[in-house]
Formats: sequence, C-alpha cells, structure tokens
Amino acid sequence: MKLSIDQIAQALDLPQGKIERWIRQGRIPLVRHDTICTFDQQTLERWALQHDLKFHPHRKPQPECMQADDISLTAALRNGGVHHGVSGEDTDAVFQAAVERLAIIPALSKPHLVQKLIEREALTSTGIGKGVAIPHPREPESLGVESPAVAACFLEAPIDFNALDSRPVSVMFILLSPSVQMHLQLLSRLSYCLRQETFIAFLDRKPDETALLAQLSQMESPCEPSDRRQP
Amino acid sequence: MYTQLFHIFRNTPLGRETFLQSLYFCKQMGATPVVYIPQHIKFLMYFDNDVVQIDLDDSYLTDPATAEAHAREMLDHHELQHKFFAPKNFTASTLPDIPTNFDFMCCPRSVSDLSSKIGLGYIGPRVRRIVTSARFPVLVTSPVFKPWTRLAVFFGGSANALNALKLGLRIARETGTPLDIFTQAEKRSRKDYEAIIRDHHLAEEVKQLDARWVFFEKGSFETNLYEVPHDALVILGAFGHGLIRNLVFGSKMEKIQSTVSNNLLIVGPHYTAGL
Amino acid sequence: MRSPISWRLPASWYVFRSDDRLLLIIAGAMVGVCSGVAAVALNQALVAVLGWLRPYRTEAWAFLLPALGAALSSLFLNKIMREGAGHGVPEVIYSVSRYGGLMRFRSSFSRLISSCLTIGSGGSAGPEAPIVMSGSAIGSNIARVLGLNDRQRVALVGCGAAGAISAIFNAPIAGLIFAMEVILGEWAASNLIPIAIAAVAGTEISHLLQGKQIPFSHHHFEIGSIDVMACIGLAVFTALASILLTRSIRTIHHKADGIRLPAWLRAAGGGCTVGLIGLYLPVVLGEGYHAIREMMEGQFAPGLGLVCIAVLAKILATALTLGSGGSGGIFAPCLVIGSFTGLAYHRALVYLWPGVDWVQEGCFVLLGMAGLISGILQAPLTGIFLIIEITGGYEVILPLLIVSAISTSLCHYFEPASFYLKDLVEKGQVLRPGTDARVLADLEVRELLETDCITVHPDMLLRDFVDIVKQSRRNLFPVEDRQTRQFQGVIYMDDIRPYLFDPLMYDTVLVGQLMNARVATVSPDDDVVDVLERMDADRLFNMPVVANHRFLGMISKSTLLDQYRKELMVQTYHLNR
Repeated sequence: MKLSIDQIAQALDLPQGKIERWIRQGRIPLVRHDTICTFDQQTLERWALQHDLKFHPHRKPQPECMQADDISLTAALRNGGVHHGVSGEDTDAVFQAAVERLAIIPALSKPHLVQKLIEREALTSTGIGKGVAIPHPREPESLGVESPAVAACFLEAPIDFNALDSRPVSVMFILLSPSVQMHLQLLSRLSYCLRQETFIAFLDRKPDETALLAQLSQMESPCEPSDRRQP
Repeated sequence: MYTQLFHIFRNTPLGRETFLQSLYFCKQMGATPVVYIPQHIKFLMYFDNDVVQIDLDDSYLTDPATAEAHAREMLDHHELQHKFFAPKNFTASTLPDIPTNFDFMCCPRSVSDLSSKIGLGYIGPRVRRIVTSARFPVLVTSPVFKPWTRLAVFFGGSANALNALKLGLRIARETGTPLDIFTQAEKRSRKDYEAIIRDHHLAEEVKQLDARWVFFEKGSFETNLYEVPHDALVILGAFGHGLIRNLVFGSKMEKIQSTVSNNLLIVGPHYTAGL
Repeated sequence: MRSPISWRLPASWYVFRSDDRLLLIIAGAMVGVCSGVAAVALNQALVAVLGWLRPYRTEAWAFLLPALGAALSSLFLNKIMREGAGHGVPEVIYSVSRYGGLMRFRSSFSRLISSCLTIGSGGSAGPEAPIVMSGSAIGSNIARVLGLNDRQRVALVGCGAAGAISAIFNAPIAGLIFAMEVILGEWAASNLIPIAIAAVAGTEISHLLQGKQIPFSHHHFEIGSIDVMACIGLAVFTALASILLTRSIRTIHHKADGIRLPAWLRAAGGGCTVGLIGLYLPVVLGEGYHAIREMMEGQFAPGLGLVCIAVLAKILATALTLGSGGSGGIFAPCLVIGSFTGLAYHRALVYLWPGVDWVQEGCFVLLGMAGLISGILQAPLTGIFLIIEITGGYEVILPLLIVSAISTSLCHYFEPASFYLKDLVEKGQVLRPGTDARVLADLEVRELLETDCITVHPDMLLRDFVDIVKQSRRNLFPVEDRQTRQFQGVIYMDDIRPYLFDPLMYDTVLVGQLMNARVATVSPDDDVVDVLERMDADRLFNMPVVANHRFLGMISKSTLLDQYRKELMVQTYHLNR
C-alpha cells in the first residue's frame, strides 16, 4: 500500500514531523521515497496496535472548531414532530402518551425512555415556567438516537408540573439527542426562543406543524452567533 | 510559516558580498537569516543518512573581534529579523554540530578551499556533499552581490527538476517575481514536458503565475544559455536522469554552473518540501 | 516516472522491508569481518613498528621516541585527517545516542594510523579504543551505503565495536557485552543477534589472519576460600587505582589544554616525559600486553616495591600520553594497571602471611584487570566476561564477581560516571535509550504545536471578543496586531472571567486592555527540555510559540504528555517485548 507522508500522519493522528523522524530512526515499518511511503497495511496496523496508536487510512482531518450552529432547531423539530391533544392526568401519564406518539423511537425502547423521563423529572421539575416544560432524559446518549429530535406536544388539558412559577403546563418540548453536547446546544436554542414573549403567545394558540416550523425557522435565521445577543 | 536561511559569515569583503546576497534573498522571501560566525575551523552537519564534515577556509576566522559588528551592521541596515546561531552540541570540543533543519542555506562556491580558486565551473566538494544530502535547497551566490528580479527555472523533466519547478513556483508566488521556465528539448517534444507538468498538477499554477516557457529546440545548451536573463535567480535540480544520478551532479547542472554567473538555487535529491 | 525502488538500497527491497533481521545479520557479519581486519592490521603494524624501533630503545636519546610519535600522531590527526580533537569511544557513544550512529568515513582509519604512531613509539595507551572507533565507523558507513535507518545503523555500529573487541582479545562474548553495555546502552533482542554474529566473525577473521596467536593464553587456577576473602581487599585497591587514573588523566588534560602551544608540541612534551619514565621503567611503555603475559605466567621478576612504583608510573605515563593529546585508548592501560595492582596485592599478601597457601599470582593479576575495567568503564559485565573468556574456566567466577561488584560500586561512589561518559555527562549529552532525556531530545517544539487557537486583535471590543470566546475550545487567546500581524500578548480566560459577565463593560473595554503582554514565549527551535524547565519554574501549563514576532501556536503540557507517552512507547517497545 502506498500513501504520502501527510496522509499517514493523518491516519495515525500524529504530527508529520514525527512520522518523518520515526521513519528515519527506523521506529515505524514504512519505507520512504521522497514523499511517498510504501508499507504493508497489516504490518502497520499491528505496529499501531502494539504502540497504542490507531491507524485509520481515511481519517478526516479534525474540524478546527465545532460550529455551534450545526444543528438547527427546525430540523430537530421536524425529526420529533408536533403532536396535539396529548392527554394524561399527571406527568407520568403524559410522558407515556407523548412517547407513544414519537415515531423515531422504536417501540421496544419506548418504556425505557418513559422511565428515563420520569427519573429526570423526579430530580427537579423541567417545567421552566410560562406553561412550558422541556422533559428530557439525563443521559441522552444512552438512548441511541442517531439525530437530535425535539417533539412539541400540546397537552389536551394543562397539568401541574410543579413548575418554577407554579403555573400548569400546556406545552412540552421533549428533547432527545445523541450526545450531551448536542443536547446543550438544542437547549440553548430552545431557551432563546422561549424567552421571547411573542413566541409564548404564539404557542398559546396551539399552532399546527407547518406554522410552528415556519415560526421557528424565522426565529432561527437571525440566530447566528454574532447577532444573538439581547440587550 | 517560518522560513530560515542559514548563513556562515565570512568576515572578508568576499564574505560581505555573499552575506548581502543572503540578506537580499531573505528580504524577498520574508525569511529569517540565521547567522553563524564560526569559532572553530570545522563543523559537522548530520543529515538524514550522512554526516558531512566541513573544514572552512581560514578566511572564515578572519578577525573574529569585528565579525559580529560587521554582520550586525548589515543586518540592521536591511532591518531584518535575524538570529545569531551558537552551536549547542559538540561532537568533540572543537567540532560543533550544526543542525540541518533550515529551509535554505547559503554557500559560496567553495567553503573549504582557498577563495582564489572560486570561479565559474568550480563548486567545492563540501558544497556538493551538502547539496547531495540536504533537505533544503542551497543558494550558491555569484561572486559579487547582484539583486535578482526574475526567476529562471531549468526543467528537464526529471524528479529533481520537478522539485526545482515546485520551488520556483513557491518563490514566484511568495515574492511576486516573474518566472521563466527553460527547457532544452532532448528527444522529447514540448507536449511531453507539458504532460509531465500536468501529471503532477502543476499546470494550473504555471498558468496562474503567467510563467514564460522557453524551449530550446535547436543549438547547443551552452549557447542557448545566453537567453537566461542576467538578473535572474536560476533554480535548478542538481541531478538529472543518468544511472549514477545520485553520485555525480547532472551534466546540465555542471554546464549551467560553469556558464552562467547568476545566483543559483540548487535543489538536491532529498529536497521534499511540497508546493 | 522512475521506479522508486532503487537497486542500490537493499533496505527497500521487498524481502527486507517487513523484517530486516536477515539483512542485519548479513551486514553485521560484514562489519565484524571488517573491524576484525582493522584489529589485525593495527596489531601487526604495532608489532612491526616495535620490532623496527627495538634496536634504538637502548640509546640514550630513546626518550625522544615517544615524543616524536605523539607529535606525528597529533599532526596526522589534526592537519592531515582534520579529525578534530579525538575522543574515541565517547564520540561513538555520542553519535549513537544523538545521531543514530552517523560517523564520518575518515574515522574508520584515521585513529588506526595515529594510535599506531603513538603506541608504536612507546606512548602508554591502548589500541582498543582506536579499533573500536574504526570498527564502529566502518559499521556506520556500511549502513550509510546500504541506506539503512537509524535503528539498523546503530546495530551495525555495535557490530563494529563488538567485532573489534572480539578480534583483539579472541573473546567474542566480551565483545558482544562491550558493545551492548558500553556502546549501545540497551539490551534489545533485535540488536543481539547481528552483534553476536559480528563478534564471532571478528574472532574468526583474527584467527584466520594471525593464527591462534592470542594476547593471553588460558590458565587454570585452584582457588580456595581464603583467596575469595582476600578479593575484597583487592577490590578496594583496584577501585583506588581506577579513581586515581581517571582523575589524573583529566587533570593533565585540563592542564595541557591551558598551555598555549600548538597541539603537536603539547603531545610531544607529554611523550617526552613518558619516554623519560620509560628509561627507568620500560614496562610502562606501549600497550603493555607483553608485561601482562609475563605477570600471568608468574614470570615477572621485579619485587613488591618495584611493582607498586610501576602501578603509579603506569598511571602517570598513561595520563601524560592521553592527557597531552596522544592518540589511543584507555582499555589496555587499564589492564596493565590492573595486573600490576593484582600482582602487588598478591605479593603483599605472601609477604605478610607467608604460611597461607595462596593461589598463583596469575589469578590475582586477572582479578586486578577485571577490577580496573569494572571501575573505570563502569562496565562490570565486560570485565567479568573478558576475564572468564581469557581464563577459559569457571573457578574464577566467584572472586571475579566480588571484585567487579565492589570495584564498580566504590568507583561509582567517587566518580558517578564512567570514564567514557564523563565528558558527555558534564555536557548533559548522555541520551541512553529509553530515558527521559532521550525521549525529550527527540521531541521538537514544532511537533507539539497546537494551532486551534483563535487569534484576536487588540482593537477589538470586549463584546466581539465574548462571541469569539463562545466559539473557541481553548481558554486562552493570542493577540496579534491587525496590520503587521505581530504577536502582542495573550489573553487568559482566568484573568478576564469577572468582566465577561458584565454587559456594561462590553462596549467600553478593548481587548488590548485585557491582554497580558509580558508573557513568556517559546521559539520553535528551543529544546523541549528547556521549555519544560521554564514551564515548571513559572508554573505554566501553556506557552505561546512565537517566531519572528509571529504567533505560530501554543505548546501545552497536556499535548506534551500525550506525545511524550507515544514517543516513549515507540522508543522502548522493543526493550519490553
């Protein structure tokens, strides 16, 4: 197999200078001709394993900086869907009913998710006030969701969520994400929206999916980092 | 990023011309001159697979008291960021080791023989060893300081010539100097050479930089060399195609260095820097 | 395009690419033969020169001979070969530890000729170091021609040294151990086989060329328990002699360096003094194998007092020869001094307790040699195996171990570094494989550079800066000028945390005001050792790397640890297998 030195450096996730030095010192099973290295892939993989390194011939260079706007709330909401008329007497029942409607969760893991939501709710209420709650599992990665999802659930009747401002909750946003990082990003975006009085008023009208998506994407478009501050 | 040119300072008028040439090169390239004022008559350079002992000509140690002042004077005049090099490692107490991780090195045609021997057609054996082993190109200066305003790359299609071309393109890009490419057509046609350049993804850049490509299809190589502008920095690979290519310099290289008195930037077989 | 596989570089042939053992064995045998030939050549040349000069030894002006030899050898080394002042074995160790065993071609023969001049004319020095140097240089240059990498080249340098010692003493195991213990400083299995092959090849070629004519013949000794007890005392004396020899060579070396004379005149002065000593005590002249042979046979005539004087005279002569700039090694003088010490000790014992049934003189002579080698070279195994192979018997092992162990430990107490490593230790240049210094010497600032920092400009508002903080994964921000792109300083998150949450300051504070301008920086050419020391001294975890007033990146302890560990794994894997 033949690769150039910088490709090998990338595959082993090491600086290029180090690879060049190791070749010179004979510490790595590569034969070099100018910038091209010849090697036996199995030998190199075994060598990497022995030295606690990993050899991935097609590793992409790591992004310099994780972009905060990788995931949009709109896309997440599209994944999760908008659900009207979710019924239930208390939080447990509401969770049960809401999770039943989630299409992206396989039927088998639904009881598990409900359990997780209830566990999280027991810690502190996710009712953040103004009639909105954002239930979510504590370890988002344990669910095995592949892409982030937000499910907007409009309750049939407001129920007591033990919220901060003691107001009964009529809208739930269930947050599901593959990693804690994404969860935090989603949460940050959602909380930005929920801080707007107009958005709360809009939610009170129980809009349908198209309207909600349109509203969100409109609110998200100026949501770039530089313009995100509020006086 | 951060380019360095290594210069061994010789405290004589001849050394001054060489030094001015180095400084001009640094100024053009935005490189940092690393100046070594030798304290010992010899030093070692450990390359990847060779160690070269350089025995300097006695004139390098002329009047060490004024050497640094002279060097500083010229550096300050050119307002260049610079560094004086003091050897850290010694193989023996009077035998310092000079690192070999510079980006360029400036050499007169000879470092170990009497300067009276320096002339066209003569490149000292040590300078040849450096060119053969080094990963950096070697700047062989003309006897008298001569600013260059053009670049002339000799391209004969070999791997070495490709490296020379890459280096020429890099310098042209960084300094904004016009670039000429010279090729003495031998057995092959212009198309073949263009194909080589295309195969190595250099055609685009050659075009972008608006390089002039001069083909010598008739006449001997020596007479054709008159076409090379007098104020060009000549960039060439040290070796050609021959079977013993890594042992003796190529014939073109020898002809150029014995005919043209321009500054030469010689690319050795171990030069690997990319575009 | 030409094929990248070259017929000249066997290291890139397919057969050798994944496993180079066969290549190393073949090359090792080649190197062993070459250094064996070098050993024989020097040996024969010495015999010839000594025979040629013998008629003149009795002349009154004979004391000038060593002076002439030393001067010629110094002139030859410095003017003709332009070698630079010679270290011999330390230079081999230096090149192995720092440059993967790269050595100059001229080293492969220059020392042979110069030491032949020095020793042949009567200077007190050994031919071993020059032969080891030549053998190593031959190995290094064969590796260069074959286009081998550092690891393989180092193995071949070891092969050269092993072949040399094996050929001189007809002792392949001692050669093998010497190469591993003294030259390479590591016991890697991959090196062992080629070096063993080279040692055998060196021994065989020496047999072939000069027959079974070996410096020392086998002996058999009956050693009683009382002799073993007496060895403890012998070890103390050999240790004393070792320390005396080390110190006197260095003292004379420093004194001689202070004299403002051309090198060859200094060497001549030293040689002259040695010649004068030699007028009264001819045994101190030359490499002294002849004297050792006589002592081992028990035929050395002079009495106890004279032997004691001979110990001191030999130490002085060796110090003068080597310290003043003569060319040669310390190995043979060590053996001679060791034999004298052993002999003197044995005779003193016999004189004090004549009734006891002591073992023959020869045994103590051998033990004395082992004691000196262990003490000076701090290489007990080399000493032990050399003597075992010379005596060819196992009876001596117990006293041998005692003498070597005690002598090494005592010397180590007074002189922590071996004679070969002393200069290198003083300059901090001992980079034995697998040590901290070795790993750090290989790491470069350029490799450790982290470039994921976001640079900011001093005229930026805090408000804009806060946005950058949101995007960055680092908690420090280099500041550079917007126009000149010159590095100005660093903003540490810890310093500005209180202001970050104060919206009032967002539009009033400029980044330039928050920046720490007096931050310690690193240049990309700095040694990682120095960088680490500065980090430790100032309790820093990060330092900006700046060259030519431009910010290149950060160097941090965490990356350093990460790369350090990877480097350590790669460097020591073959040792722990």
